[in-house]
Amino acid sequence: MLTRLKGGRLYDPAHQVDGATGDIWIENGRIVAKPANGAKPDVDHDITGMVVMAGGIDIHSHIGGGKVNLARALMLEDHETYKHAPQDGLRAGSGVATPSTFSTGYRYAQMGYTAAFEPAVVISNARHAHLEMSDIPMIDKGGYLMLGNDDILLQMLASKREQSAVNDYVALMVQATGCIGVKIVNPGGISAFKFNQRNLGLDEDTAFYHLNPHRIVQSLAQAVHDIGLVHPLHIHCNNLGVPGNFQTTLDTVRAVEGLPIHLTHVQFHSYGAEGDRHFSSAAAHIAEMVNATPNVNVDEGQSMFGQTVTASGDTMTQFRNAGFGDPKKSICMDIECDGGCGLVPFNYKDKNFVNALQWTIGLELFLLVNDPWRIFLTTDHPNGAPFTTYPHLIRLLMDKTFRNEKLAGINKHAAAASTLGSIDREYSLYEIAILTRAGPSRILGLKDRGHLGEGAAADIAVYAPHANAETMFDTPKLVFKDGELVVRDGQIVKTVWGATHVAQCDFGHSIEKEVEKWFATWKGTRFSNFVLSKDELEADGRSRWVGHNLARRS
Amino acid sequence: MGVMSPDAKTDRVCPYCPLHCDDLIVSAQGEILSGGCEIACGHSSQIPLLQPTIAGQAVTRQQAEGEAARLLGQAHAPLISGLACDVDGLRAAVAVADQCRGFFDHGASDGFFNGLRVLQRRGALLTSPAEVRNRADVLVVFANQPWSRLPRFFDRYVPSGAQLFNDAPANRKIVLIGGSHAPDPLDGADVQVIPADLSKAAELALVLGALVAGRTPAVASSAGIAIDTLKEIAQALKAASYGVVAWENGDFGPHGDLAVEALYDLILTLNQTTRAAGLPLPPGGHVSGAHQVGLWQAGTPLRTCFTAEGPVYDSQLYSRAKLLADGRADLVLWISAMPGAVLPKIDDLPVILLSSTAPPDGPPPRVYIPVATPSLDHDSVFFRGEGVVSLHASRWRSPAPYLSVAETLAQISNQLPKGEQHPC
Ligand code: SF4
Ligand SMILES: [Zn+2]
Repeated sequence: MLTRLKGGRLYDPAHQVDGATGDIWIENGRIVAKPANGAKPDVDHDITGMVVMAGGIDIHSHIGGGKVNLARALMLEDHETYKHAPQDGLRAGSGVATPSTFSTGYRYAQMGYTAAFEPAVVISNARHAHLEMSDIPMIDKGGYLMLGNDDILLQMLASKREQSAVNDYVALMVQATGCIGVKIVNPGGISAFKFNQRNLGLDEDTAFYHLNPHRIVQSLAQAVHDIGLVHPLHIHCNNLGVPGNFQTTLDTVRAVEGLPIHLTHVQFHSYGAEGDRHFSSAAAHIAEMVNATPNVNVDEGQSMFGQTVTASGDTMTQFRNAGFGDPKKSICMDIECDGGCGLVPFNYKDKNFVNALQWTIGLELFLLVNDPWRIFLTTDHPNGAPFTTYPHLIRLLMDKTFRNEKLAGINKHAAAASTLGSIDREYSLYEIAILTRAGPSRILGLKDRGHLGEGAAADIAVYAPHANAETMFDTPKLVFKDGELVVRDGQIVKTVWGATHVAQCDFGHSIEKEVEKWFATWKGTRFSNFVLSKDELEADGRSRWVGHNLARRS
Repeated sequence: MGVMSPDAKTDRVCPYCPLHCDDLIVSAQGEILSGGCEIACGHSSQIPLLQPTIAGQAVTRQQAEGEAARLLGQAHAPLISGLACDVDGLRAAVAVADQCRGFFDHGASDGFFNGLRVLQRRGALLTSPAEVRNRADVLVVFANQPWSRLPRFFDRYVPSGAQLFNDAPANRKIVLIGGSHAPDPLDGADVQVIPADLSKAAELALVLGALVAGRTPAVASSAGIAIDTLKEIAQALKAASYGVVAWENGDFGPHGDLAVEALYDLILTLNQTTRAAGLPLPPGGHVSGAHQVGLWQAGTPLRTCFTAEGPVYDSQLYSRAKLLADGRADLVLWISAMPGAVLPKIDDLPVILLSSTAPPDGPPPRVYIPVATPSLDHDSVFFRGEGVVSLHASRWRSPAPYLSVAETLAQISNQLPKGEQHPC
């Protein structure tokens, strides 16, 4: 079937197309060239004057796995308040901060997003994460494997094994868990907390392994590079949320000595310790570093006001922050000599100095980082805010008047302390398309997503232009997933199942034997029953495993 | 036990209890050759001869499925329960509950809710099996006889031999409170068995918590344990590098959540100075899997009602026992493809039973459909009882002549009246 989208204004930064009027032709789920034989489209959508972008790609969103499910159980009110019945072929569901899997897929599609990536897959919980992702309709998915607090790796580093062995291990585990990237969370700190260490600086040794985070990050960044993963090491730095932590963030960048890295939810890592309250913005320092350091990418982790839950692999930090819980409750868990998780409900209040300043710090970062290809739009869902706030966030970036109105409503001391009001920058539609589509697809190596060129998957969002960008991005006119019309006027019209993106790595045989032995001896379970395969993932008839072959560099 | 043959299959996952040991070796016929405990080996490897029935009369599978669909289509408030099956079966079961606006609860979830209610109200500080195995230097278990239903528990959680992070595993201290005797594999380990009345576990946990917090309650004993003994336990936990407090949710009686909450407070106190964490013993019948799948698909835990407005959760009102007692359900769909959720006696409601064994004695269910046993008959996924690790189970033997739970529910779902069908 041949489909034409006629007369839209195209925003396709991957091809430097900035609002030019043109047609898009779709056949067999792909964007194709205009038929040379003059064939007529079977379906013609007249979208004259409307804004056309590739489907949105969320590079960092906690959408599935054990931690997310624990958060759902904890967030009773979220699920009491927000629920929807099964209708028109859709499944029932509930929650906004911690939506059920079906709700997650529906809401992303309703905003014109067609992919989201789960950034915190715990080794031992990888199958669970995939099971949940397999039950998220409408969008493509993928996961980043959390390494750097797993005892097998820490032991390899402590015993000074050669980098090639570390590379083999990382490649094996990425393959075995069906992931597309590697994330490190509070390097060494989650493990150290199990040994009763309560803080861990970048150059501080862990008590048991006598390893410092510096060394762990360095080795993992090297491994990710060497095995050929497109997405650089995804780093959640030490000292999340701690006043003055911007220094740790800068030191982390120095530690990797020019290797490509991705700093995640950088808003939470851009804090100074100045002023009466010993809490200040260091956004300018971090933005300056990003602007000057081409090997660094960041995603935002913007916080927004309202109820949410912080859900993290960082047990050390979450245990420390449990007292801030609102409602006052929390969950922490030590997990299988692999990692951990911690959940603390949180209510960001605009009249609270710290919360208000966090909001300004995030926006300052967005506006001070010059290159939109190296910063990505996230709220670290649900940590900063639910992903459903993206349209509002986009308006804050695009509309200075609106932004300053909002700034006037927050805690006065925070507003006074912030430089936000003096920043004139407004993001253009082209730049928004980079932040939310072209940039993420490039940094993840999704060659056929995030753009509108010939051969791309026809994941497309069509928006009616509106002076209020929030209105525009909240309710797309049309959304196509792999060429099928799935959303019309913000309503789901068809349920589809996206693909799971997986890196395909090479590794030496000997590491497999070593890991098998580790599993049998220390975990008391069999590696063979742990490994995920394409056959298993696809057995439910709706998941599709898309492998991305890596060229090993070393 | 048979003889090892070249076509024996290794690394098989056991479906018979929530430990889901995955080191079994089975013959081509599915007979356990190695790794099975007495429970596992007590199950016959023979494929049972079972026949679908309607009101006790033999029918074809298609007839039984049709009748089940008819009943579900007519029901206003079906209870979907039992839920002892693999992950794919559970996914299908939630879909049917959603589709038919039913109630959803596991057949043996009472103990589990003692823990979940506390987690939802206050939180939790938990650990998982490999951490216990490699890190725990003190393990205190509040349970009557966990190893009778979890035969390889100690072998899996606290095996003799080296621990990764405890230099002197021989000095690991294990205190079994409530148990009448230590299980065999523990001979030689430092095990203290302290009889106690666990119906008073809430008081016991409060007293122990006070001792850990440095207070001395004015009591001579609690739950039958002398205060001096409790002081020693409190001291051991405080001195531990990584103390683990384990408990059997189901042994704490009707107000068991109070005991779980007091244990949580005790664990929080310990963590002010050292590390410690909680470990609910794994519940049977794949409760942990049913909880996880229901939660991610609906956003709400077990004990959810799929109303016209969406899923509504109530841990008291929507328990299967309460629903049956209150007469709020008008049909029961009971799933029992593996042990752990036996169909209770239900006289006054039509029952659709999907089971891998014959229906229990007594009046026959309205519809009975035999189903395959996950792991034995088809590849499956199980959550181990702690709810963290899920395992892929490759099948043990050539398939039984029955459909899986997921396949059976799909057949039924396809025949539900229009408007109740899901596209997915
Ligand atoms: S302990 Fe449980 S899982 Fe292990 S063999 Fe026995 S019944 Fe099976
Ligand atoms: Zn995150």
